[in-house]
Amino acid sequence: MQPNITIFHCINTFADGNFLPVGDNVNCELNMVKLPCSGMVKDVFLLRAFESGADAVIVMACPEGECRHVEGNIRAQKRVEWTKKILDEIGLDSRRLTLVNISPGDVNSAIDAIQQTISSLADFIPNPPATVRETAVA
Amino acid sequence: MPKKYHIPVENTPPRFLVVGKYATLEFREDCAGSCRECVKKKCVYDIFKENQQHISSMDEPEYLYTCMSCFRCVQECTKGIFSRVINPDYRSLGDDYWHADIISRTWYQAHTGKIPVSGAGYRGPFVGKGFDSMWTDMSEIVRPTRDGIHGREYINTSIELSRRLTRLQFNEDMSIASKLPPIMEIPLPLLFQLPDFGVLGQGVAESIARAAHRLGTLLFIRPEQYSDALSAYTDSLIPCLTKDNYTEHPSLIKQSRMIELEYKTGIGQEISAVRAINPDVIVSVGIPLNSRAAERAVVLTQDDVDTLHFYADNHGNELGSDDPRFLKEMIREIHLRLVKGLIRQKVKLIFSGGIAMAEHMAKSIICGADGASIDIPLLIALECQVCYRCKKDQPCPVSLEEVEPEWGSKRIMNLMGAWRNQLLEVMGAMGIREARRLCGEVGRSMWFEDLEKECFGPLFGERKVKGLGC
Repeated sequence: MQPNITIFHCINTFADGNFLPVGDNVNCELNMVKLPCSGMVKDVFLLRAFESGADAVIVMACPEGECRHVEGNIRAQKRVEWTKKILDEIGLDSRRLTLVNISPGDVNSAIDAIQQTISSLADFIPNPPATVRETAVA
Repeated sequence: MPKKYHIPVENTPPRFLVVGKYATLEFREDCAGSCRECVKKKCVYDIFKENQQHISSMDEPEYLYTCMSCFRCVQECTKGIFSRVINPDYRSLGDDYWHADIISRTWYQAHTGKIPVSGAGYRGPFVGKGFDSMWTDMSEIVRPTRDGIHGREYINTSIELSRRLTRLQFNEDMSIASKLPPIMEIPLPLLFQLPDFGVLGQGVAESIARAAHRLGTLLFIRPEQYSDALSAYTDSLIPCLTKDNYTEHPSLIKQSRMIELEYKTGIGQEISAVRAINPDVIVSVGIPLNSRAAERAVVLTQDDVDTLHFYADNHGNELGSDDPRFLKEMIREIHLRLVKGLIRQKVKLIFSGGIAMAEHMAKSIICGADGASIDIPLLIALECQVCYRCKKDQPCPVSLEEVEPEWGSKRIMNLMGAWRNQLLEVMGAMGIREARRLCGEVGRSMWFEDLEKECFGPLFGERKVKGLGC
């Protein structure tokens, strides 16, 4: 079973994550969620992604000082930190959730972040909802 | 007094969450907490209340984009925590002609049957391509109690699809000597046809046929698309036959009120043969809208065809041209060619392709069409997102193959109800009470090209660069 990564990205970093040239060597299922600003990310969405079976979640935001809505990326950072605490509390490992700041159009950094996340997935225990889903499918 | 034509509309919610346009970006960390002036409680559309319900049930984030863009929360929040954003998925709906606003408004009309009103007003460009470079003259708009949807006087939107004699002849006893052709009238200047793409399952075809039947209009359909489910709506179907296959379908010709023959050189013989099978049948000829369309129209009108149906491409452009003209220019050319030949009264002109909004129907008629035929708006009414995934054999995101005919026909009737109301408003504001009277009435319209020439021509001379927005 391929690992499942959900990516919430601001459309000011790149217009559509589905067209990211991740290449064939990236062996995982990517689920892209476009947002008008990374500041729209809420803790419920992040937790919902894990509940739906994501092994990792990445939030891609603009660099600090470059947010079109002034401080959407800073808000996103705070919400990610808050959600990380919840993940640790419930024993899901907060390293599954990351926020990366990406300059508009910097596709290489986005791909690097995805690859880095995939390589770190081996350190984690499987996400319980994903395991339940796999068992149900089997 | 005869009963007024009325389209009953009924709230028919979509099966899937619609792709909304606006959302509010909320920096809730700055919220005052227990503020007595909380704008979330004051939202007239209850967006925030519903959001809470969605969050508690952990729904997908599509619900975020249900904001109606009234700006009340943005303006009135004491801490200024809101700003408005546009849904990125909304931006990628449709294509450059069937753009997101058209799709979204069609969904709204199919849902509610009401005329769409933009909360934050129109902020688009002054002029655009195609029908957007033409305006209707609303100088009679001062009489809302007399005209329009709620006016006391009736505005007739019916059109004929049958040919007319140019003059009547009488016997000595004043009885009519002329042989009168059959008369056929529909209550809307709109006909339906099945699109050339999309998941056209049985449910979609039956929805459209049922709606056409209830509205009193007609649906163009190929013989291979007939099925037992459509047999109840035979009166509302126009079989589209060709020179090669019309002899295989005599029963269709006998049972139909109207048939269409695809244009081929020398089609006159086939028209006579069809009339020999059913003398009362109304005959239409389907003609590609290309550079030869006007001359073919003249020839066919002299052959006593009832209706000429011109097919443009899905974006309303002329076919087979490197520099295609738009529908409105093509309609003008054909209409004026027939007027010049003194035969315009004899024939009815229907145009299809690129009719995306109610105003396009009205503007086509002003240009010289008798009516219009629509296809893609019907699919959009059934929730199609014009994503063209079906063309690539990918699954339909809104499962069009599972459309239930009763639900689908209600959505289409809602759309037609809203379109007719818009036509009534336009005609009422123009001081015209008959759709037939509107045909070719360019005096009630303004064209950007003419206005530009009139205003700026004396100052700057002729436009050096072709087209708008250069």
